[in-house]
Amino acid sequence: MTKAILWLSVIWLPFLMVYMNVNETKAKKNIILGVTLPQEGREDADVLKELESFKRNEWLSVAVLMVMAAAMWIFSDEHAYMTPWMLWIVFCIVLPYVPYVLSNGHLKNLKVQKGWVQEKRVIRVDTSALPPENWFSPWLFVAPVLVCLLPVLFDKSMAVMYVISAVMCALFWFGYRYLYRNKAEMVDSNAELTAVLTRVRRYNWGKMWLLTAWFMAAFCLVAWITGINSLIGIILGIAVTVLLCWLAFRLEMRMRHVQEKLTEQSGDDWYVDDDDHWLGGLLYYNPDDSRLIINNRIGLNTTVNIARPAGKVFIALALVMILAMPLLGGFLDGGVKKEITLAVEDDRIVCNSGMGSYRIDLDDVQEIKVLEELPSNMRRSFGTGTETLLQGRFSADGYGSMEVNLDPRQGPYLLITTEGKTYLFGTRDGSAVREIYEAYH
Amino acid sequence: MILTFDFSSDVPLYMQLRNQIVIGIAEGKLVPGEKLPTIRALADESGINMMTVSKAYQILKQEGYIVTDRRKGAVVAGQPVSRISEEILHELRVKISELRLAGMKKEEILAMIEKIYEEGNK
Repeated sequence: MTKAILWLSVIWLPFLMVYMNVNETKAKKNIILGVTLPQEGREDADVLKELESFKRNEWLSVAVLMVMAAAMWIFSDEHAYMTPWMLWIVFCIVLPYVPYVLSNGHLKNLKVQKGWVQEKRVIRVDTSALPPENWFSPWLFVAPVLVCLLPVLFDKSMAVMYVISAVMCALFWFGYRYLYRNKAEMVDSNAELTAVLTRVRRYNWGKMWLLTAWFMAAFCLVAWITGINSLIGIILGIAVTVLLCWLAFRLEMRMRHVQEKLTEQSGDDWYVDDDDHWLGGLLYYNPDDSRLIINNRIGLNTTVNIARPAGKVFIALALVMILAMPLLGGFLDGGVKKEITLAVEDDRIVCNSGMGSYRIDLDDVQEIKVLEELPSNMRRSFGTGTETLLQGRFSADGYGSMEVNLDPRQGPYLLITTEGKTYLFGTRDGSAVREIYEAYH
Repeated sequence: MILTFDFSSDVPLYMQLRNQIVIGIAEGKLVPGEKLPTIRALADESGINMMTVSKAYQILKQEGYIVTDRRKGAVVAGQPVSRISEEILHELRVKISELRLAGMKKEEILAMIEKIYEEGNK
């Protein structure tokens, strides 16, 4: 079941990646596939041929990814599916960019051949696009912070999650206001066009941060009202996530559409061309630019200048995180599958699983019980929750918060109460639970 | 007004900025009393160092092309600069000499100066 949900949650990823990449074949701000071309370049037969070839290769990458997904689904173990799943996600992120980088290189060569290259190592600034900023009021961010904190008054078991969410909302305001200074969107010498494009970007950029803050608030409310591990909580959580993703996607596509329409007539006379600073059309490298965070050339996103030391660190970390995903999958698969041991060693009850280890002094035990079935409505605060292992901090009706380390498929379970803490342990085959109960209750 | 910074040029960036603002004032693209971008905004926008922008503004202020106001920041000076320094005349002499050495005749140089001057009036 978990395996199916995981695969269904990402199977659309190649289509989205390719849709976004293919969208870049439409000229926006005179840029096609990361290459700045004059107006005549948009109609050039060689350029159009390259774009057609790019589209074919992109859809070919979708086909390859779908075949891989089918193979990984069929051949992955029923309880060790994280490694192939994460490996496939890495392929989804990388593979559609292979045709992109290749076609970007071909178009750059065509540009040189046709004499469309403009001057190099030049930065231009339109001073008319530097008015005082009209920032969103910080109070718009205070409201989601308060909404995140509201459940703490009623549900202490998940207080850490609510407080972290509130802090995140406050950080979103900080990110919106200070991390990014919204460089003007200059395409050509038309100052009015620059001003409009810049306003559109700044406004939508703020909207995106605000939207994300309210998403956090909505998520906290859903977790509080329904319980995050209940079926309705999961469904509502997914619904809120899907809604945010959809709104973000729609915003990005609308931005691209606006940029496309507004710059339809640009590129006849002088136009901005900083292709020289974009490696493969994807990475910004400009040692002359002191900024770290810069606008992605089309759409709403940002990227970093990898000529800056912090930019190099950022990109290196992003690469490490992407490439480490399959390793993390292997770690999780191994941890989830590993045997759970429950025994008494040196006057301590010891319970070990692949994801956690617990030790309780027998002197501290106040009460010990055997539960034939798991308590109803178990909700995870922190830790692992799969079909074969529950480990970490959970809460349940009638038991409050407790530390859990067990296989949910196999009872009985050992409920241990100490001063201020409750533990629930169980093994893969139900062994050791009754023995320890008989000996120490 | 569009400012251009050429990083492959031998002219220092602060001087490129100073020169473009002087040209902008002379050609009427920047009018007396017009507010210039703040040092921080211009540095953020261009990606060049704040010290570089500050240096250009200081020179412009010393030369009388801009004035700084505590509330408004840097604004284009209300009165046109009337003095013509020895330095400017010397620079003009150097440039005319360079054009002569490049093979241009007096009439050609005068015609070119007139053309540039007229362009500034548009």
